[in-house]
Amino acid sequence: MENKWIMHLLLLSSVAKLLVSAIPEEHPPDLMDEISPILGVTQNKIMAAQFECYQKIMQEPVHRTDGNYCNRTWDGWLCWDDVSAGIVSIQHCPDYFQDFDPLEKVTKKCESNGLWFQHPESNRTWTNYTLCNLYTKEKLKRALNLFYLTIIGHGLSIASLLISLGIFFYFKSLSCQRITLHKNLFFSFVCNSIVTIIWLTAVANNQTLVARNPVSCKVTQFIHLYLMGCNYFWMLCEGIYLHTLIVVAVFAEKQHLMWYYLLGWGFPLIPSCIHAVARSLYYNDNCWISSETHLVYIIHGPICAALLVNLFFLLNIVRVLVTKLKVTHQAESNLYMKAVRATLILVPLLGIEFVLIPWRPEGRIAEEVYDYVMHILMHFQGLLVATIFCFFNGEVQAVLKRHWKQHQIQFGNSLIHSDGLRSASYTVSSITEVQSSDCNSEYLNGKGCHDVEHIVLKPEKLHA
Amino acid sequence: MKLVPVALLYLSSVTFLGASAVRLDVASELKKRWNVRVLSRIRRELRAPSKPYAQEVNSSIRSPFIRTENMKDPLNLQDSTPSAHMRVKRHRPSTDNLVKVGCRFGTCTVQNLAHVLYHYTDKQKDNAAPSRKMSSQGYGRRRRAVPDSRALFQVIEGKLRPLWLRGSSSSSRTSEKGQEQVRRNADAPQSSLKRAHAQLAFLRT
Repeated sequence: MENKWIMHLLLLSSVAKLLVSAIPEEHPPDLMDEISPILGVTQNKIMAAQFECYQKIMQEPVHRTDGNYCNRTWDGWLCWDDVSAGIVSIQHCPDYFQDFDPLEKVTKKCESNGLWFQHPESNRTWTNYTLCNLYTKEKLKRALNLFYLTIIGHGLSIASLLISLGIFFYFKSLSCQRITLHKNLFFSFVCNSIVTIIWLTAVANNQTLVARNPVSCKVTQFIHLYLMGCNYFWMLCEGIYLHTLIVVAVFAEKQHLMWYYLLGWGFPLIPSCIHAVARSLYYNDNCWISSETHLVYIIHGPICAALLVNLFFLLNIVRVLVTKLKVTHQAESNLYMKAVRATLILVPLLGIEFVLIPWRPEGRIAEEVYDYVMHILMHFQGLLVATIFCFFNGEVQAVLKRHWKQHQIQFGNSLIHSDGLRSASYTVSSITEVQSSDCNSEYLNGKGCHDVEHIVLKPEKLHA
Repeated sequence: MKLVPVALLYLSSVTFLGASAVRLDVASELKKRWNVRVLSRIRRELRAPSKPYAQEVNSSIRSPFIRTENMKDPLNLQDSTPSAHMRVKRHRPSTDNLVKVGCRFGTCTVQNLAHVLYHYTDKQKDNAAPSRKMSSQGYGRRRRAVPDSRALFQVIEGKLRPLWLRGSSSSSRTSEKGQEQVRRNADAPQSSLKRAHAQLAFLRT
């Protein structure tokens, strides 16, 4: 009996002990939860910066140069190094507040007497933060405008590209190497557009997701960058194909498409993998969303190289085109018109527009204009390419017209006797297929509205 | 002939998966090594200031008053707090020469747009910088005389954590509590709970 009581007592005491030890463990989190809404992200950032600044102030060696200099200091938002007298120290704005633009600059002047600039109104040491939020409202508005522009552009591109792909796949008569390359390019455009829309709407606009920083959003960024690379490398493939066809081997047989597939879908894996590894090692920010690191050049360097190669191809193609047209003794004006037209048609296909203005210019208005132009060119490129190379394509138009007529005939007659003409229409379509299975078939290209395609398809005619 | 592209597609997908798997392995391995290196470096860096910091904490436990000028913000924000979702990117103050960052290629527009959108729509940050601090009375001064809020510093497992208290009523209420705590802890600094509340009149940045 006594033993039982002792057992109970022991059990109770152990439970009590557990409770006692549990209380201090639970208490701090409660307190922190209570306070954390007050201690916001902004406060956290400022305090982290302050901590690092004081560490830096304590550890860095003393200023060595002669003459007056302003002492290193923490001004409340940013850390300032020792600066020689008479020099204006410049830093980027901190990202503490929503209306602070990290691309703008903060200035702090070191006067000639070795003291930091004091505001004449208050006689207090003063740092000029006024630029940081001066243009933020306009910039936010512009960013949102560009965002909507992007969504609309990619939406339209996806729609038109899917229709084009449908046409290319439905009408087997169209299929040839060039169309196969177009199909791949269009497909990469569609993938890129879809992922870009997902990235902008679901990740960049979703603060809670980025704050949670799940692996999936980094995978999305990886896929996004990979597909972007694929898109540009398929443009390179188109460039190589055209160049090979026109300049290198005029009478060449069919080219091996395997290398194009390898370059278009395989090669972009390399930079995106390198980028992912480098990013996870050296700049592992949430969702890898930041573009403020030189590591993004791992992706964009090869892309720009590809576009430069494409520019070279375009120039070479135009050169060959002009010389070939000259041989045929056409009228001068006609010749240049054709050359210009061919160039303009090829520019969106090869992505040349991105290397014509390679750098973002400095200056507020120039940046704004550049942003709008670049966004329009980039996001509507899919629509443009689909329009030029599918909807305006002579072959496609001819096939569509034929199919439409066929359909009309079939539909009109089906009301009277549906079975009668089925075999006839089948014969017609099979004949068409036979006739146009060869990409260079004469009558299709006769209606072609593009001189480039015309020349690409029938180079031998130019020599005749 | 038709098999070739299909085979290539498979091959590329397999290499893609394989590469990503390998990447993860390699990344984790490299990350471990890198972490070790970084940790050792941080340890080396922190060796010097760690002593005064310890003394300071001791002194704060001994006396309830701490001169604000002596505070060196011994915060450990990297610590896993309950509000771990508020991850703060360490802001490395750049030197006075302006470093150009960001991608300025024409092909970067989408990435830049995503970055800008993310920044401007960050609802977790304060939405506007206080205009008072931008004005002539604002930043750039060394110290301000009167603090408008107080920080309650809590030592947990030897690490200081700041608790900001805003508003006069709550701060006065908790300040009493905090000072009481400090006194209690000064009496028993070796308590098994190892908790110390230090009420500091600290400048709100």
